[in-house]
Amino acid sequence: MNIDRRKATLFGAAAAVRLLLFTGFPGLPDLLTARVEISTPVTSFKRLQEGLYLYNHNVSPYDGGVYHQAPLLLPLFALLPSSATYPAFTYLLYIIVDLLSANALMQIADSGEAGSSKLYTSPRKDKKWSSFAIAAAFLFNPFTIATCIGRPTSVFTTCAILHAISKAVAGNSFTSMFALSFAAYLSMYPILLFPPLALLCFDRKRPMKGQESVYNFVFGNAMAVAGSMYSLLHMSSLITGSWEFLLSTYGVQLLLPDLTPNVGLWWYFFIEMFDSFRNFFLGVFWIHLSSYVAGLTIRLRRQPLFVIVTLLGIFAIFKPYPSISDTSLFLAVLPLYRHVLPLMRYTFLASSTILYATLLGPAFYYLWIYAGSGNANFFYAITLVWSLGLSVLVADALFAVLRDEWEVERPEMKGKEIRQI
Amino acid sequence: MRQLQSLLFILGFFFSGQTTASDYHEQLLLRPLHPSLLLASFNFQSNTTWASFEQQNFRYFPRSLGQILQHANTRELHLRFSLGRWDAESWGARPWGGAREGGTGVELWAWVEAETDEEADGRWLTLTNALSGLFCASLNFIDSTRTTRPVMSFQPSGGHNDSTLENLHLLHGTLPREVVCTENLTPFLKLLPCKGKAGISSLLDGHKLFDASWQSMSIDVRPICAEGETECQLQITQTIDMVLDLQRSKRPRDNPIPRPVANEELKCDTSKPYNSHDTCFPLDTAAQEEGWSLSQIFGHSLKGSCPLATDGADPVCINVPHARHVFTSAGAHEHKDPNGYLRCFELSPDGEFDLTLPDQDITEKAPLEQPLLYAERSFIGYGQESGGVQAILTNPSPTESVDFVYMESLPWFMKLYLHTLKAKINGKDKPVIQEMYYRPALDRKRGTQLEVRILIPANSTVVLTYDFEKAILRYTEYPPDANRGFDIAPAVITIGNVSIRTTSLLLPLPTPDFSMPYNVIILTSTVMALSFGFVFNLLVRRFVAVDEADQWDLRAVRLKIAAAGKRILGRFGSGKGKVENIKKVQ
Amino acid sequence: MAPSLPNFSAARMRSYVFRLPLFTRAMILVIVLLWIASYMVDVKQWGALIPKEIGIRGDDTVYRTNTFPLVHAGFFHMFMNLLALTPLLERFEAEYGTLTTLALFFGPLSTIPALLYTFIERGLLGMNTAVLGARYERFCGNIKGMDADKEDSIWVFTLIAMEAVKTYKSNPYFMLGTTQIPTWITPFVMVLFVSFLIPNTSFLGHVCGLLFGYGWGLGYLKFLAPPDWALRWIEGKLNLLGRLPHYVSVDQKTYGRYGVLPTTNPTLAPAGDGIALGYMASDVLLRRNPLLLKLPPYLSFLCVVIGVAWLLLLPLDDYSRKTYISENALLPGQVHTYFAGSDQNVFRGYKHEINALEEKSNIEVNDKLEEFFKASGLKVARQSYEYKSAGETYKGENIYAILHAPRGDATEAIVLVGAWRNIEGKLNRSGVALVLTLARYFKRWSLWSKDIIFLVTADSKAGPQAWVDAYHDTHQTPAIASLPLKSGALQGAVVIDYPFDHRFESIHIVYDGINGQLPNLDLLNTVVSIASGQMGIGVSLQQMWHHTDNYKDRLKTMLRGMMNQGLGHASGPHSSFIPYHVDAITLQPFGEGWQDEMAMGRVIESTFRSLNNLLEHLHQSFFFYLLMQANRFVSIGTYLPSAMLVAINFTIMAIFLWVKSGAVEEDTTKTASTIESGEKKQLVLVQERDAKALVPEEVLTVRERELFLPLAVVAGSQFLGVLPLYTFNHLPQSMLPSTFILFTLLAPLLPLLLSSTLTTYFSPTSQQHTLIKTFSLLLLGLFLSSLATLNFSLAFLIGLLSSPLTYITPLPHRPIIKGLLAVIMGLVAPTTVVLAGTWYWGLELGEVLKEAAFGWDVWGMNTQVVVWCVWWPAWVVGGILLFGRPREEEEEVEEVKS
Repeated sequence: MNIDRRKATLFGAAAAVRLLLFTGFPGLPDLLTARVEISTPVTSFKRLQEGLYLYNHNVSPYDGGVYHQAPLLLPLFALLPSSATYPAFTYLLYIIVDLLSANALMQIADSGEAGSSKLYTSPRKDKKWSSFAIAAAFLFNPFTIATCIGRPTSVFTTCAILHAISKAVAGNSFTSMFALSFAAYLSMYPILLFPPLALLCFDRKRPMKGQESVYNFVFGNAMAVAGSMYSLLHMSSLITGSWEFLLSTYGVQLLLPDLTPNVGLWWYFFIEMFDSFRNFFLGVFWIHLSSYVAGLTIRLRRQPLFVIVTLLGIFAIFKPYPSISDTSLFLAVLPLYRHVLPLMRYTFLASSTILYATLLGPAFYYLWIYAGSGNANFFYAITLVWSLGLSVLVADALFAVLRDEWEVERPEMKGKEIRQI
Repeated sequence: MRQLQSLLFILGFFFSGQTTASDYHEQLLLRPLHPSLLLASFNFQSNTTWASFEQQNFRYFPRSLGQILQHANTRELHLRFSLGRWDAESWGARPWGGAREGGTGVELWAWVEAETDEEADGRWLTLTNALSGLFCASLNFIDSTRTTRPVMSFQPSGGHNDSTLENLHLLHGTLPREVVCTENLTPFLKLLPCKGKAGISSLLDGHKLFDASWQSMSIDVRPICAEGETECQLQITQTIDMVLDLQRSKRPRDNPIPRPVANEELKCDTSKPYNSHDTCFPLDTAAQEEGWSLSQIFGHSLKGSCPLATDGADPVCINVPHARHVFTSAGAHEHKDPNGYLRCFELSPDGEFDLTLPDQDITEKAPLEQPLLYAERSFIGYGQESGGVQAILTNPSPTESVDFVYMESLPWFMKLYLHTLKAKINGKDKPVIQEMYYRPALDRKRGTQLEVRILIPANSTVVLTYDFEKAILRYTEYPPDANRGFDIAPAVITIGNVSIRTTSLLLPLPTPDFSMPYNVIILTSTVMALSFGFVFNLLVRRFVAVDEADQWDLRAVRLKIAAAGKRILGRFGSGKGKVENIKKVQ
Repeated sequence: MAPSLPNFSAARMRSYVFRLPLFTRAMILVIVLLWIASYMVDVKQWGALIPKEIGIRGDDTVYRTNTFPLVHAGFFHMFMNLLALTPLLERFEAEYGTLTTLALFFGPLSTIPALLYTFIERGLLGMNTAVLGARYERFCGNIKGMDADKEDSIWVFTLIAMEAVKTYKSNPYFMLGTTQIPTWITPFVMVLFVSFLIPNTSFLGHVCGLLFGYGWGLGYLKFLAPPDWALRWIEGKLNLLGRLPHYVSVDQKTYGRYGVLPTTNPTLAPAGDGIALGYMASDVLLRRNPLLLKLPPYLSFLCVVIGVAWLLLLPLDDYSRKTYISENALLPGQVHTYFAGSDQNVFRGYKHEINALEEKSNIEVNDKLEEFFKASGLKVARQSYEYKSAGETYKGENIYAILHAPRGDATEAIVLVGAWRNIEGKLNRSGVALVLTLARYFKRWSLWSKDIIFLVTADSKAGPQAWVDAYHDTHQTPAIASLPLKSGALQGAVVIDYPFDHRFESIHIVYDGINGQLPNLDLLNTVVSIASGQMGIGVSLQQMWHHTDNYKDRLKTMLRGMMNQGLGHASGPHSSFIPYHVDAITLQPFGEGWQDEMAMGRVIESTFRSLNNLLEHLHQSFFFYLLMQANRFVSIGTYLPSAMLVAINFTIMAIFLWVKSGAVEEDTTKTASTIESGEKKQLVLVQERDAKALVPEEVLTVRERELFLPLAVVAGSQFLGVLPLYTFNHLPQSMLPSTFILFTLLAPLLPLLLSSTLTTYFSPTSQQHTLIKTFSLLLLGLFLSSLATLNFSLAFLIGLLSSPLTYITPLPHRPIIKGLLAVIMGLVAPTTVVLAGTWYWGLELGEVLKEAAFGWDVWGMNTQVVVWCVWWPAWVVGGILLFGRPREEEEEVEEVKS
């Protein structure tokens, strides 16, 4: 009851802040929509509008170089009144999506999975933040707010992923798998979350009659994902009347034809890449991105939730078209592991690096694009720093968790200087 | 002026109507424009029967071109070379109603006969390559990204029989960046029967032509099937229009520098109180008609008439009020058009012809024909991320409204946002867009094509705006002068058979650092390797306490060093040194 | 015990200096002398190591292999070299004895790497790059105009390598991320670092030095040292020990006294992300080493000092460069100019007309001008504008004429501006007349490849802004009318400001843009080389009417330039063009001389011919520069470090305070049981061996930090800045000065108030105070270092003025010092500084504030934002800290336990 009131006030406050920003500064939404840090070619709200316009005028939006987003978004936004005339509805939609994500996040936090999973219980698990605080940290994170105002479609992916996790910890695997496949359907990369998520479901599912083996369980879930993916894709092919959207949505993520700058590492690399090696390096980058899944899942078998957290962090760095909304997702789930934060060693360093990048990024982008006094290397350098800072953060969190596990094996090592061999 | 234009058409059709096996007609029309400019339109036209064309029996029709057309199954061809800008506000309507001019650079459109689109593309490719060879222009750069298939803007001007009509494919391509110059003029003249040796074409000369404020060369090949006749004809029309600045052209070629005139030649306004030997307020010479002559303007006089022009039409006409003095060299007969401003001259086949108009204070001017539409297009916004295009279309006529098609063909890296397309009429949002055809761009495959049918009511202005985003290209896709920007082809405005072209635009794109490939590959890979290392180090290696680890580790390193030492000292060869060194290290 | 570097108390420093051993002193002396000598004779030629010079046949230039380390390129070079070399050399000598050192350093230690280098360089690579003594590091990022002298530091790297090997033996690893880096790697890392970040440093030379160093450190090369018995014999015979002071005997040799590497001295850590990377390594050390924990305050102070010193060095020949044209297409002064003769009569005619119009209204004037332009056969259009700012309206009407490029297609355009009234409000009589005459003259040419726009704005402040905004369609209709007539992309703009009608002596070029943005240096160079080279007209900058090319004048020019840049206001009609990436300058004739208007016209003509040649938009040359003089400049690579150092001093402090706030105080050990063991152990270790003291195990028991309150305080004071910002941009002009005075008087009370409320309601602990300071400084450092890339001067000035904030701490028990600091705080308060500035330049406060408001409303000037939202909040927090009264320790201890 009390929790509910606090939750209500929190959500109310978050919604109020966003509404205030939307209405108080009418120029702000479009300004942020144009920022490369927020909207990427595969999530931009302006491109969505374009696709919607073409869709409403019976031009296939996928027979063009502008719209690269999932087909089901079109009918969804077609139902809404046009955001040009009645923006309020769009605003509300995005605010609600944020609140739903926060809600899912709270459920995850309440489950306590982070502190003690089925196979592992951290000695520090009592030292945790309330789900309320975690949701607040998510809702009032400037990155999240900026993302919400900028209205990229990545917020739907975020919401879907968080729901997948929350359903998984709640133990009903099918819903979780459906949410996952929806996220994957929207922006492809979440499919890489399947292994840890399936394991999470397996760990959390209620003890039923007759213990079934992991393999059957995972296989069953894989089937579920495949099934729901297929139905979604088929639905979209019915909507757009052809399968050409596959190439224009997922193809773009795979082949990176659009080199619009973003906070990631891919764009400048492939601008400067020699034509003959482009495809090779595309392969390399994708393999690199997916290489983390297996390793983490196996090594951290006992804490599948943390595998997901780490993967989210890694996606935020190494995706083809990352944006700060991915970072905000990572920063949203990181506080779940507040109990290992004291074990991290470079929090201040990493966070100040990220802060520096956050400030210098726009400055250098301005110098390059508008003032014309700087060149592309300015912004590129900042994306490097940004990625480095984030990866230090991810790796450090990973270290902390591993150390936490290790101290369970060897309690006498608490607070000792350690080394890896 | 309208009657003049109509007259031009009449002339054209009159000769096209003739059923003689093949004939040739040429005419030069001179028209003074304000201020002190001269529009000279050359028109060369010849017909040949379809039969003789098929049998490759060319008389006036240029063989080189004819064979290309046959090889590429091109039924109708329109090729334009243009330079400069037609200033509609002060020069009035365009010659030939704009039908014989293209946008800046090179513009080419043709109706190719083919079964399928692919076949048409193949033949189009053949055509462009062949023509680029013929005209020394880089037409072969008209690739798929620069080719469009207009739907509403262009109609076949020739009479095609219905059998061919359904599998004709219209393809249209532009090269806004191409700079037209003498190397294009020479092959152009070669196509003429008199090859620039005699007749009006003898006046054509690169220096003058390309010093013009505006000039356009055109070639049109079209079949004519007059009704009631079984046999069709093939007509080729070549025109050159140029607007010459009298003062500039009158300067002697050996001394083109506009040095300040001597003080005494300076035309001063003596009414000014301060007017003195060293102070002068320049007189406005607008009231006075400047004197000129053909030989002054074109460098030399006209070398007789072309003997092949057998149709007895007067080869030289000038469009001035009858009150204006016009003197010609001997042997030329003047025919005045009684009502109107036109007078034509019949030339003696041999002997030079020159035309002289002296200085004259005359207020009467040949009236300018008001254009149907004023069109101006420009970029809005700044920065290299995104921008907008603004086209201001004004209908000057106080009575009748104008219905026209506005066509844009944009390169793929200019990502058009159609949902931002807005048409404001006199500053108010009203539905003026009747019909729209849009073909979005595909990255690196094809450009954007936008055709909008708009109706402007009388005496009002439509402002058409849309946003676009500037894509950033791979560093190999930039031209050597990347920071100049990319030329955007002019928009084509079609009003019935009158067409108007806006100026071209210069689009600056964000550029990467072209010296960076290796650095970028190195740095990015480093960052990726670092984080990969971070994570997998943690995953694969196990923790131990420092003191446990120390021993083992240090010894290993020592052994390594010792081994290295042995190897090095093997080279040094001082055995004694070796022993103690190893001791020292341990 | 022997002095060790990290411990920076003044006394220690003194003793350290006094106890420098003999050879080291000698070296320092020699180097200094040689530097002084280098101003008289070209020592470089004598001493540099130039492979060609060293013949294999024994000719007399072999001495170079010994002398090259002593010769230096300039003072700063030498200074940094000494900084780097002295400690290392001192250790080496103290360790091996003077004689050995002498023998080695003029024997193998420099000869062998040198020969090695020469051999490889000449034999294998066949290059011939001269190498001088030590080098100083300079970080430029990948910024245009990165440059570094051709230098090398064989000695430094040799010694570093030895140290590294030694350190490796004592503690083999430090953690980077989660990987352990063997410490002997560090010199290599440094070499790579240096050779990547600083082009032209001879990587090879460094490596040669390193190899030798490693060889020595591992003892393989000990055989090179002269045998001990020989040295002893020499010592004995000459009784050196008795005669020479500070002589280190062979017998005093000691091994392995030192553990710490002076190479992790963060003065060398680069700016921006560099600092972060630099700290990844040193972060661990910082945390572990009690000595290093004392270092940062001195360090950050050193940063500020070096930053200022750096700036003062810039005018020297070694650090500023002569300007040069990068864009080949410009070809300045290559064309003959014809603007003369009878055109002068026309000019006089126009001038009479202009004089007649002096008292007329804007509209009447424009009617006339339109007539003139039309008469020259140009297209003419007008634009009316109206701005409102600080309760005043600025309205007027611009008129402009477009000369179409004869064969062009309206794709590009150049602008010639003559404001009707110049920036001082004087009638620009000759200027406008010149514009009219030039318009008539340019019309005659057929060679223009770009349109030329002749713009006559009503005034010099609002008019140009309105026009440029409208040209790029970013204006607010209907207050500012749209342009009825447009041309292509603007490639450049030149403004004539010629208000008098007598002859002039030379031209004054104004180039500062809004918010400190500058036009491309090529444009300036073009005009300078045309004026001085082609026309023989002198050029001056920044109102330095008489510039005798000496240090003082250069410095003055630079500082005035920085002041203008820092203020970021419009210094002429050209300023409004620059934010739109249109390079523009204003030309002001001045003085009494024999140059007439036509000469001015010819300068413009020639400039326009050059701009007309441009194929690409100006992009080649520098956009970030400081000008010393018309033909001398410093590029960003050279000057940025000074601002960055000042900004970094805050970051260093922030990081240090963060670490400190996490560390546990001694007195808590009694109560906090978890920590006690660690403490003891550490003490034990310290007594044991120095080398081990570097590896205490107490990394992981950091105290929990209460972050919420500090964050709230800092964020709150940041938001507080919006208040004055809004006030001073929206008040009517009449109320501005009084309000400002009032604010100035009240501002100091605010921190007092806030801190008292804090103490009463939240009673923050000392840790929280530290954290408050941490965050505030971190933010300040962040803002300043990113501002330094946008507006260097502003960042530097504010950084300098707020540097005292680094040292403000709560002093509850020291009222005197507290009062003193309070006075200092009051002096460096933004408001006080503004008042002082206006007083110093004899300006009207009201005018200044009005101008500021105008800048905010019209020009989009963001200096106020920086002052009120970056500087002022930091100052407020500083005040809060100063008056802060931290809670007593006991309670804190309780928290630690819980």
